[in-house]
Amino acid sequence: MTTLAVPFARPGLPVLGLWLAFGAVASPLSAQVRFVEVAESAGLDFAHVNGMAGERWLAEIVGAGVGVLDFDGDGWLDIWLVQGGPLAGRERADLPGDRLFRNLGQRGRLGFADITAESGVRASGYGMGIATGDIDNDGDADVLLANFGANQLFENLGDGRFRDITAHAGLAAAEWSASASFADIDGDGRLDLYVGNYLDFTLDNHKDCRDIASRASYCAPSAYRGVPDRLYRNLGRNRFADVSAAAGIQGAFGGALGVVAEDFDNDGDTDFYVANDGVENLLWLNRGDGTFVDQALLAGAAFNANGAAEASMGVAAEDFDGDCDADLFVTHLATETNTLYVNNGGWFADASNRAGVAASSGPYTGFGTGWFDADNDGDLDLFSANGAVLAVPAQRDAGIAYPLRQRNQLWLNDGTGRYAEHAGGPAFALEEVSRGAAFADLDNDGDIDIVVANNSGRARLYRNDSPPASWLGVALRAVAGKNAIGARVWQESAPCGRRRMATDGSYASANDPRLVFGLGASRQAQFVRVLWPSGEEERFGPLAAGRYHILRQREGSKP
Amino acid sequence: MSAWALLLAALAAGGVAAAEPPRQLDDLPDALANVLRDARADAKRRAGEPGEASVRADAWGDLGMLYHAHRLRHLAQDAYRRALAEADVPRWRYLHAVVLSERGEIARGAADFQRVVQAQPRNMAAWYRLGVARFLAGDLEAAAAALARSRRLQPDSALALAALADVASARGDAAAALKLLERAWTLEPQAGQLAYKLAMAHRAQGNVEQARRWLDRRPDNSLAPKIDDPLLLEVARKSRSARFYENAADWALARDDQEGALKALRSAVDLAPEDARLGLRLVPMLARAGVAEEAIQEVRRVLALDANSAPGWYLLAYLLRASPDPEDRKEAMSAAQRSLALADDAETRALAAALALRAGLFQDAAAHYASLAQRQPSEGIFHYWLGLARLGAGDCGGRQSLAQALRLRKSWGEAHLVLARADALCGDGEAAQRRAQALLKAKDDADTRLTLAFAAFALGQLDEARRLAQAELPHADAALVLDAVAARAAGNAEPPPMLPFARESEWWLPAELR
Repeated sequence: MTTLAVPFARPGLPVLGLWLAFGAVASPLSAQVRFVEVAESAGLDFAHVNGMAGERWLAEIVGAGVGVLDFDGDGWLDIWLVQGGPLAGRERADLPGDRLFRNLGQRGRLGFADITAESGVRASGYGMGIATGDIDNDGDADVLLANFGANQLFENLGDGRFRDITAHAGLAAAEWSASASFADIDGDGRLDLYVGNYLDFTLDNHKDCRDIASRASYCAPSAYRGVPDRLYRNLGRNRFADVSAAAGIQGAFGGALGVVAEDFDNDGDTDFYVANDGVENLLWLNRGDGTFVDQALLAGAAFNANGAAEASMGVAAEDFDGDCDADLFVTHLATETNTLYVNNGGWFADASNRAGVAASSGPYTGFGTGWFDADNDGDLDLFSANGAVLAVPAQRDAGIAYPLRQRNQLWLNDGTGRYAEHAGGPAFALEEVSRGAAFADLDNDGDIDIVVANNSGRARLYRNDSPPASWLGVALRAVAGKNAIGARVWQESAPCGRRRMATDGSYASANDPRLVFGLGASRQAQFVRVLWPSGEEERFGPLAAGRYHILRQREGSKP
Repeated sequence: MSAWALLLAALAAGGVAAAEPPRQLDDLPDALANVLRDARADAKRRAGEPGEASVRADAWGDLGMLYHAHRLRHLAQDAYRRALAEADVPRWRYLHAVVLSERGEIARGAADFQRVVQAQPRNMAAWYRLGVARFLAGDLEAAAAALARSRRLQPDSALALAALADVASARGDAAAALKLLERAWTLEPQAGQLAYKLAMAHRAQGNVEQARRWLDRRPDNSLAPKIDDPLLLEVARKSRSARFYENAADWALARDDQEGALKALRSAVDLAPEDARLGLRLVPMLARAGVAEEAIQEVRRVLALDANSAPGWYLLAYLLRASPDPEDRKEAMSAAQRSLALADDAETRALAAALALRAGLFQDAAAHYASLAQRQPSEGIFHYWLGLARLGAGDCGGRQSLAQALRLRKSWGEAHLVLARADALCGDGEAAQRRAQALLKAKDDADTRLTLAFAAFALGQLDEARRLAQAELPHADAALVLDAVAARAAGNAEPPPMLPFARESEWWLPAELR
């Protein structure tokens, strides 16, 4: 769809944005935050198949994720939904596969068209998760699929088609992966890849497990061995080298479900945080020499405040408290409560209770998650896509065949770093087995929408219909041959409210790489600073509120 | 009947159906389901009898405890709710709150705990749980107040101290947290949770080294300090399930309470004698407790239940391995072989190898060790024992295995000593002498001096060999050398093959047999 102008403006150019519509911003905005589920009307007709056949194979309940990416570069975010299919008998020709939905780019009305066939997307594995990133720095998003089995890498050819380059790239390891993160670990401008591997479960070593009352149930992760993660260095020309051993990450056995890249110790390079299921989480700090060291335990980010490992699933990293370092939010099993780790300059304190996210998460098992400004009031809110892994008694007793349904949750930040759960409209009352969640401004109206991938259920598209508030959107473009992932952006007026350009985090999903800053009632043009991965800092502005701006490296001014 | 009455009747009918849907117990094991059905019928009968409301409440509450004990929390919650509908008895209110909290319903649980402490202001457990619920909800003031009450009621509760420390930490008062935790640690040093919290409290104060020390000191568990909670103990006892006692054993083990673990596991086995897995867990615990006979009996019972239990045969072999009775030793070898035939794991093969070595079945032992060394080539110990077994079988190729062991661990004194004797036995007296002399500088003991005697013998220095050996008598290896010298001096051209150690020497005993 190209009839609409690309909804970006270059810095400094006059813009006619949406901000004119924001003359009457209500206050407080948060009370009116509202999401509406519009998947069906938007043409997003995807149903996940988990392949359950009565055996209670562990892999059934783990997938799947969803990715949002502007694969055709038209300025509208498209949606890639990851499919499972049968676990046994995958030699069939008519397997259900991933589907790619193109955003029709209709302002004011979300619409998608399934263009899987013409895009060349042939996802042949039993899919779990997705990661996106421009691995060849040609300006479009490439895709890694994390599978139960060998992963797949698709190169975006730039003409609306993808090509499977897994074998050429050297990424065909056969472990069970759920989440992955593209990030530049060595500052060469190319995106490297961290793949979080889960367990050594196969259909052949499946175990029959029982719950405490001796009923048949899905096995806990402890029934299987964790598999070490893998780190791949991008060698250029779409080839990767497995540097797990040399980087020092091979010795750690986790059971990774979530992974996010950030500079957690503020030393200028990319670190990784890995959410492990039932065992301690990992904080891989980059030593800057190609090796990593796990400092999670000493940094207080391995366990909860009681020193207990939890069933960590999804993860988000943002500087939610605006103190210039990346904090962490990790979703967990029901009764464990989600955990908010506040970064205190290199070590983390479990502030879940104080922040108000613990008690309300108690009954739910969280997977996909993210920090985003739901009401554009300038602070970061939280979302958790929930779905049980152990039968919900009332559903089991009612004879529901797949009794793992739970509702999703939204927490609004009151501006002081304290959260309160918010209904978010009737859409979030829907009880499903949610797993992946991707955050993106799908209708380019300046607020963040959410796509949720449900296990053994239909994908959901939660359109953000909250009262409009002022906002500023930015998309970053590094100089030719380099990648902007990992760049930091902050409003000049709030020097520590830094945000990082990224697509990773959440659970098995990939997010909108653009950044949206909520401005509340302010419609003033903004100056922003960008710290590019190369270390260069630039100033851009004044940038008009109410629209997106493309910020190109070396086109800003010196701060 | 009016429309409203019809609606109310329908709702009431729906309410009953929701409380007891037909599938609630369907997928439970039959025996448990029957017990619970009977208990429910009994509760209904008791609750339906005329009399005191508190008696009717007890009928539902007792049923709730039974459900609760079997972790059927939704059913327990419903039964406690029915009890409370009959009479607001603090014990049922408390358990209702506990089960709500266990289901993650923190706020609702807190409301119930609040009502319990109003009715029972001296209930320490209720104050503590109220404080924790308030803390989880982020209400630091209310949490601190409730936890302070619990501490006043039980000043030596490490649990209350730790929870107060959590609140202090959340308030940013790391110094106060540290003080509380240090006191808690003196009360319950086996609780891993306390060491972790201490580490983090030091970290919060910027004392990284102290944090590191506490993390290193941390017991290998994340146990919370104990809570004195008679009502929950009552619930737990109602389970009478093997699973409950097995869990209790795990908790006791985590606290390094071997006696408690053994007691709990014995109860588990008593309740589920058909569960071979439980029996197999009990066996090593009995062995550790020094009741080897009972352990052997138990493993034989398990093997009668499941003759194809590889761990069962392994345990039998392991238990019989140290018996002085030759029949037991023979049975140990046979059990190890049987286990190996069922599951070829390194532990079992190493035991089978050790038993064969002790029995003088050197070729069998060598075959086992060769297999182990092939599977785990970086484990020097397997190369070492392979070398010794091959020497025992008269195979000088054993020297290569010993050399490989030394490549993996260069300063391994025992391997050097065996290799020196191997060199002597295989005709390389000079190499043997050089190695033995080097060893002597490191360790001047009878074994090393006798190794020099082996070397002297290999070099044809019979007088020197005799002198060195005689000096070590009555060492069995000295007799070995003297016999060989005597045979050579007598002109015996084909002396019997000489071993590197006397047959009764402990050098033939791998760690599995010691």
